[in-house]
Amino acid sequence: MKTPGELTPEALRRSCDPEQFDFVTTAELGNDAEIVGQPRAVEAVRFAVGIDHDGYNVFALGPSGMGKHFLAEHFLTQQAEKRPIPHDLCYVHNFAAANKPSRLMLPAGMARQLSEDMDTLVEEISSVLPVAFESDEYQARLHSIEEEFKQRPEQAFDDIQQHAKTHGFALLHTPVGMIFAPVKDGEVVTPEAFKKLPEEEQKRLQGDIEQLQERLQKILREIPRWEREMRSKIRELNRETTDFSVGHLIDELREKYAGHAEVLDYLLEVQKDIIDNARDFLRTKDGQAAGEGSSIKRRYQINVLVDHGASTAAPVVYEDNPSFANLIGRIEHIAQMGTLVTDFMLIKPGALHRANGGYLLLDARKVLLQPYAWEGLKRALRALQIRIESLGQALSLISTVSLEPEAVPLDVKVVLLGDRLLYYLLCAYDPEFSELFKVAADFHDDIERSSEHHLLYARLLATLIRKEKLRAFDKAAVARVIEQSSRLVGDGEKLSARIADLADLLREADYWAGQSANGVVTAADVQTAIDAQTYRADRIRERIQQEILCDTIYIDTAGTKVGQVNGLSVLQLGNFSFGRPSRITARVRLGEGEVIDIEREVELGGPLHAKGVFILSGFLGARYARAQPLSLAASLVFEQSYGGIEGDSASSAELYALLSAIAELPLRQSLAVTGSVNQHGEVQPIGGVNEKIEGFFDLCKARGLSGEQGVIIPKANVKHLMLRQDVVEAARADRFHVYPVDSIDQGMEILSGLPAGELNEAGDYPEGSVNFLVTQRLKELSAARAAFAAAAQPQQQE
Amino acid sequence: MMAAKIRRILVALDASSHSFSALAAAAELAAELEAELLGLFVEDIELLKVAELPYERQIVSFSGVLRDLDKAGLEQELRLQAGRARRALEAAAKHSKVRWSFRVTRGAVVTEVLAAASVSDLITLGKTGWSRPGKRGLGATARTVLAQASGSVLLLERDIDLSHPLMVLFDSSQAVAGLDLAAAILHGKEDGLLVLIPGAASEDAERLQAAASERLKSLGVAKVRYRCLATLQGEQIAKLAQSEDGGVLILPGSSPLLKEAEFQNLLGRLELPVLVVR
Repeated sequence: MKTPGELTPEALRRSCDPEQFDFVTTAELGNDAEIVGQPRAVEAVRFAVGIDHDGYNVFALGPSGMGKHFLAEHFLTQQAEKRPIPHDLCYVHNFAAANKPSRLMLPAGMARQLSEDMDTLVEEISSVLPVAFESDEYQARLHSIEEEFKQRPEQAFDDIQQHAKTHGFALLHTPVGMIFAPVKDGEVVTPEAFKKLPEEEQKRLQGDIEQLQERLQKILREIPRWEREMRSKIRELNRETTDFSVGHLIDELREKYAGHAEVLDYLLEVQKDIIDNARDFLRTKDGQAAGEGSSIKRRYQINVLVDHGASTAAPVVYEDNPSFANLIGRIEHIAQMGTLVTDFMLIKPGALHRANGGYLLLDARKVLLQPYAWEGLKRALRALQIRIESLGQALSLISTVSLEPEAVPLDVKVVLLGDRLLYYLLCAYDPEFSELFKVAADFHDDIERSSEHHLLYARLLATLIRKEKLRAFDKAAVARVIEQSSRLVGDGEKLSARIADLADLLREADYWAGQSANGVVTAADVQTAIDAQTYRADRIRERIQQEILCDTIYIDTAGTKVGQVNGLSVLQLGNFSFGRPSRITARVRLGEGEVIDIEREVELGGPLHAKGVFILSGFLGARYARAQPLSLAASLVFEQSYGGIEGDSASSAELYALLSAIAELPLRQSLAVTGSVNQHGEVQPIGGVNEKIEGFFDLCKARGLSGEQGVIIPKANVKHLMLRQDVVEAARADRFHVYPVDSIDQGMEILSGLPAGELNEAGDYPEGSVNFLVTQRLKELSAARAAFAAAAQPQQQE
Repeated sequence: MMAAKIRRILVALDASSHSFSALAAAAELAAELEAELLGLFVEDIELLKVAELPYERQIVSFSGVLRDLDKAGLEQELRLQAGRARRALEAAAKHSKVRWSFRVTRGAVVTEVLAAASVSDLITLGKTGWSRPGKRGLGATARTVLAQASGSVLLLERDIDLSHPLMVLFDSSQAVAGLDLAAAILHGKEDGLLVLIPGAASEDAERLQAAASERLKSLGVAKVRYRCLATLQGEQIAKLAQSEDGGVLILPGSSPLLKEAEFQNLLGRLELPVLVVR
């Protein structure tokens, strides 16, 4: 027999009917999970992807475990298929400035092809060039040039020697140089003979010698120029020879890449460079190719950073470790003879390179935790180009010569995934953030529960199940998961959007199905998984319950008491929360109308709790002491509470205790109460209603359900009920009751068994009603106070 | 008739790179022939005389700068050069494990060299001196010594390589000395001898080849290659030397190739050492 106003068992839990599904197991469902119940976020992402302007990057905000990543990646992958495949990216040697490698952007797949072609070209050149340079024709021409230039100084020396001889001088060699000596009759003139010559003759000889010296000096100065001239002629010959033997090889490549101006320009540079450095390709005496493994061959290689040869769509990249270097790219070094060296082949791509032309997913928290990664990312997005530089360079800490690769134009949509708090903090403190991430994709924590969403949700589960490679779930199991999903958000009309928690449940249910050797996962497996989750987490809850059962913590679940009510609170430990009954008591004495919240006095109560107590004293004064002063002093306390108390969900319970204490009206201890109250005595909804009811139920069940026990909850919380199956069963068997109330009067009626009583025309409450008793008692207190005051006054006058 | 055995090899050193090549070659030959090395450095008396002339200045070869010249300075430079030459000789001799001696004399270069040559069996000379850039062919000193020396002369501009074939010109049946020397240098090694015979496909040539073959057989050299030359010209021999990758060219002292112009032409084209046997 149900008490009027009590909730039916059906209202205690909004179950999900497996029969609404037209599949037997999830194996029948496709892999086409759509994003369920996130139209706002999807619309935001779709908008950001569609709009072709700078700064329209996305910040997907919502708590972690929401499946933001899953949803975003899923959606972006779909979008990426509609976008063109971006160009390949490669770096090549810059022949004009080796420390500034040039980039080539080529149609997808061409970079790899060009790289292979260049390798082949270098190989061919290595075999063709030595042959050309060893040919008789080349050797003959080389010889004739050398001969020509060797004859010049020889001729010049012969001439000057001849000239000296005809003028009576000989050219002699000293250990370090040459001298002209006057000769007479084939003999060098002795100093004695010289001195005997007339002074004029001596001067003439001296003048002649000076002239000869001048001529000789001129010849000596000419020699380096002649040598230079010879070298330049040889270079010209080498050039001609190389061009002849290599030109046709490069022409072939030129034809192949005819439509690509960048490649043609590069090939032109290559050709010029090979001609200038042909000698490096020739074999050394040992028969080893000079360029083997060394820079000559390396500099014609192609460093392919991004190869889209095998891509079928625009890239969607998620960078798990978004450090500065992993985002922007880096230049590696190799140790050579104790020094670190680098070249364009050691340029490595970052996530921005790989995602260029597509989408980049990043975890906002990880980006912010990596030193300078956030600044680097913003700089690239603002400049719309990727400039690879080391952190040392970026911060101007290091100025050693290093590579400065040509910047790469950037066209990418970045999707940051992060908490709401991060989003709002960035909005507030980073002025650039709002410019670069103009689109916020705000994910709901929960999804509206409807039969249409049930089906979509089932598909989402099927996708997760397949992705996780789990056993198929039968429809009853799916229904059970959906129910649990509602319970997770604490709302019978909502479904959880926390994919991570769901995935955990699916995996664990699959495990238990495996333990019981089930081919498919059943509702029982899901229930086992839920129970096991609870059992693993509820050590503290059990401990508290034991303390209550052995009467260390006093909680009555039978009988009646004045000024005492069972309140309900929720404790959250990690991810597990549970309800716990607390005894709330009120005492009243003569006073000046103050209600003392003991928790607040000792600073154990939070501001919301204090607010609740002020509200209830507001209600008390307004309702019962409009015509007379409120002449009481009341104290309220959570008994045996040694920690802090916060929230106003116990304010209705406190008010019940207070009214009971004023009216000296015993209240049923078999009931527990939750709900906050406003100044009009209306009971308002609170959070954690399911845990609170179950917390009291568990205690009563442990003591033995009397059939009297139950919980009073705010009416507005009824839609949130998703109680455990055993609570529902107890209610069905009339062993436990849940009473929804929307006013204090209704609550007091249930607790006291007396009618609350309404004001009649005379402004009085009917006799025997709760309100009558309260008013009556307050009048007595007021009179007592007046008497006390009158008795005290004459004394004062005396 | 056996040629006189070579017991003493004279190396005229002027500290130029050619003369050091000559030294290395001489040391190698000395080791093969078990001969003694005689090093000679001549302080040129003419230079010393010129240094005493007033106003005389020298032009430094590598820079073209004019520098004052005085006798004391020149003597100092010559002493340093002689010291360098001595050290080089000592090192080369020790390396080849041959006996050696070194002497410094002052006088006219040619006279001193020829005087020293009279007590040696072979003179090695750099083709040119060290101070003349770009000069090819034969220097004046070498030319005079070659013309006036009574013994054999080895002319070279780079190191000798005895692992390459010896090329011997056999142009008259009297010129057996070259064959004898070649046999001595080969020292029992096989397959290293190429005999050049002038007058292709003529009776003379056949006769010469037979004579050479007989002589060499008697010297214990079995494997010999013969090459007949249509004309006896420097150019042809130079080409042959290049294609055969020859090590040393041995010419008889009586060869018409040694005539002034022809010989200059030959030396200008040849890079390998030339040994003139007398």
